[in-house]
Order: sequence, then C-alpha cells, then structure tokens
Amino acid sequence: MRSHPFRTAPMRAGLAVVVAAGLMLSGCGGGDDKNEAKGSADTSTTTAANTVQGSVASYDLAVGPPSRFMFGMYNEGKGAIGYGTAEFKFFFLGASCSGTATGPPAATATGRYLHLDGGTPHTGDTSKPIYLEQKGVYAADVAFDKPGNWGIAATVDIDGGPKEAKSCFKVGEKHLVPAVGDAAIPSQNLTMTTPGAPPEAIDSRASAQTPVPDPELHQTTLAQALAEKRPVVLVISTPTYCVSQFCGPVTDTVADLAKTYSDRARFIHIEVFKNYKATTLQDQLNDAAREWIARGPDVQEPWVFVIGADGKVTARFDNIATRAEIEPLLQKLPKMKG
Amino acid sequence: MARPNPLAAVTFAALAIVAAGCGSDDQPEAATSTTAAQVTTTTAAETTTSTAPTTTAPASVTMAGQTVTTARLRAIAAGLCEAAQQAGTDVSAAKHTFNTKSHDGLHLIARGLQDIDRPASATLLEAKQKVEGDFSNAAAGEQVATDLRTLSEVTKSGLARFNVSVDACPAT
Repeated sequence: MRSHPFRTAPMRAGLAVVVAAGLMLSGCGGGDDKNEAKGSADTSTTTAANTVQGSVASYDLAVGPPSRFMFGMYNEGKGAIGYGTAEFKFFFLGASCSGTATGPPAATATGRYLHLDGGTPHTGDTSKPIYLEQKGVYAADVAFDKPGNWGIAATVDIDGGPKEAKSCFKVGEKHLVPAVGDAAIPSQNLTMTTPGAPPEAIDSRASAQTPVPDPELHQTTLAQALAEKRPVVLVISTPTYCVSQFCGPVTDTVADLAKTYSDRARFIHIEVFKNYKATTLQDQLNDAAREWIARGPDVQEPWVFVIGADGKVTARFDNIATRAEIEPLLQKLPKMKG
Repeated sequence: MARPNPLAAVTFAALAIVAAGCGSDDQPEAATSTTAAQVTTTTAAETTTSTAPTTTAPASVTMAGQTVTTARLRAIAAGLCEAAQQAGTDVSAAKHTFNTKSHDGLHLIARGLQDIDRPASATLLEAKQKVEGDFSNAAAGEQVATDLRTLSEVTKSGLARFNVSVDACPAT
C-alpha cells in the first residue's frame, strides 16, 4: 500500500469550501529565504523545503458537470511553477481528509497552464514546466460526482523528472455562489450616479481625493442591464483590500475587455466592501456583493460572471480570470442594438 | 476526464488545517480561529553579538493559518527599504524588488492582521495600493520612494502586532 499524505488547504474557520488561492498562493515566490530551516513536523513530501508543493486555487467546487479546477504549484526554494502541463489524479476521500482510498483515482485530467494577465509571458521554451517569478495555476475541467473531501495528486515534470504535490479539498453538493445556468441576481449595485455613494464603496481604489479608476465599469446597475436584456460581464472584486492578490489584475482584465467589447455587453464592477474596517461582515459588504458572494462568515473574491441576454449565468470564473478565457465568450456575442 | 490506470490502495493521512500557501514557512498546526488568540509565537533565542544583551524573539509566528519565520517577515520588510532606496534613481528596479521580495508577503501580513486588527490590515493594504498606484501611473521616483517608506513604516507597525520587530529603513 502506498501512502499518500494529503494536506488540506488553509481554511478559514467555518468555511465549507476550499479557500482562496490568494491565501494559498500568498507566499509563492515571495520570499527569498531559500535556506531557512522549516522546522516542519510534517513528513509528507509536500512540506519540506525544496520540494514541489501545491494548493487548490478554486472556490465553491460542487458536484455537477465539468467545471474549471485550478491548482497552483511551486517549490518554496525555487519559485512558482508554470507552463507545460500538470497531470491531475483525483481521489474521493469521504467525510474527512483522513482515511484510506483504495483503487484507482476517481478521475484524471491534464492541467493546462493559466498565465495570469499583467505579467510578462516567458519567452523561452514553454512546452515544459519551469520555475517562474510570475504566478499562475494549472487548470482543467473536472467533474466531481459526489460531495465530500477529495484529494488531488498533481505531477509536473521538472528538475529532471516527475514531481508530485498533493492537497485535500472539499466538494459541496451544490454551488453556493451563482453558477452556470443560474439566474443572475438583479442587484442594485452602486454606480457613478448613485446619490451619496462614497467613492471607495464604488471602487476601493477611489477616495474623496482619488477618482474611480474605471468609471466605465460603474455606469449601470445589474438590474437595469438585465431588464434591458443585455449580456453582462460582471466582476466582483476589491482591488485595494484583496487578500487573494488577483483582484487588481482581474479587474484590470475586465476593464481592458470593456474597451474593446462595450458594444457586445455591459461591463460592471461590484466593489466587495463598502466599509472594510467595519466590525461585522454585514456592515463591511456592499449589498450587491453580499447578494452574490456572501455565503458564510467570510467572502472569497474575486469573481467574474458572464451573463447572457436571457439573464442566466453562462460562465463563471472564481479567483482567476484571464483575457484568454473571457474574450472568446465575448467574441461569440452579437453586437447589441440600441 | 479520462479514466486512469489502476493504482494501488492509497492512504490519505490526516493533516489538520495547515498552510499550503506557496512559499510559506508552513508546518502542520491546529486550526486557528479568527480571534486575537491567533497570534502565537515560537520563541527561540536569537543569535546576538557578544556585547549585546541576550534577547528572545519569536523564531516564527502564525498568521492567517500559516507559520512564517521571523526571518522571512524581516526579508519582506527589508525588500521595501531596498525598493525605496532604488526608487529615487530607478523606479523600474524598485518595482521589481517590490514585486519579487515584498508584494506577496504583504498580502500574507495583511491577512494575518485582518484576523486581529482589521483597521491595521486596512492601513497596510491602502499603503500598498498607493505604491502600486504609483507604479501603474508612472509616478516620479521621489513619490514612489516616499510611498514605499510609508508602506515600510506601516508594515513595521503591523509586524509589531505579531511581536516581530524590524528595522526602519535607513535614512537616505
């Protein structure tokens, strides 16, 4: 019997879903302390320094048809791993990450590398995994057939041979946040013309002294766009108060797309926080953000939703959304009339 | 998805909530709640010079569910000073230093602060956003240096909440 110690992703107390990759990726390549003693009591191969490790980067995984699953991989001493492919094996673990799974993996998939927007693409050979400063994740469309704890063993060919990283994550019975096929919520989000709306509640980068950086994303409410039967690209993020690191780049990606495709869809940014410093989540969140993404004692962000003219979610991107993923969806949309 | 080849029985060892964070100085640990009790430290005598009084300082701290060495936190803070130093003459170098040595760690510190002192987390993230805005808007080097020094001071204050002391940036 081969032992596969799986480690769970770091989770906020009470969260029923895998946490933000932002937290999990928060140290990717960030430290230069390559020779630090780690002092870890964990004997698994995924924890020692200078070994390949990995973290689930997806939110709100649930039973259902194939949807994007993301896994970030890195070597603490050498940096983030990107390019090439990663081979995923999935094991159903049941009620907890403890225990024994027998037999073959429940599923396998090949993860393609998602290069995050905003960074400089590697100019050398990208056919095989390499170490990078720029972070990214490996992604594959995966279907999970039952709720509970799952394990992933991901393998990349790097440093002269296959290296494996493992993690444990939860799959829910149903998505908690609106998913593909669900009706979009007709939120009355703050806009540039909402009377009395504080600039920082429209976009956390703004203030009384600093204008909203992307006013084109705050021209209409989701309720209005849905009433007009317009396709919508909705980004829910907090560029300033983002702990996942990806809110800024994702918001910028949507703003860039809006410049090109404003004749095909309405582009809307909902800032997560109306008052980040408030003591309760109720008081911290903008109403529209709460309607869309608050499903527990904490929120995960960023999110991008593509909504069709029929008012239903046609695509959903959790944590990471790239131009390469969103743009083809926009190109399929007809130009709007009127 | 393709069906895989058969594999021998696989045992999954239990690991409690641990920091799987990239590049974290992580180790298995019990789940932490989102309370002030989250600030835990592992003390170890630090090497001191023969003339300096012997002091103890945390060798590592737990923040946002991750165990992070003090050395790494100090490296994050030092990166800000280095970037500030560079900004006066080379904003591009300062940006690179900021992104490679400090940026990710600041997110971690902010998340740790979020659990024990949300206003301090806000202050840190706002100072960080100011620096990032400088880089995005091609601000003058002097402005970038000033904002990096402010961020350094805010980071220093934030780390003090975890009983981690860091040096102020040297005067220019």
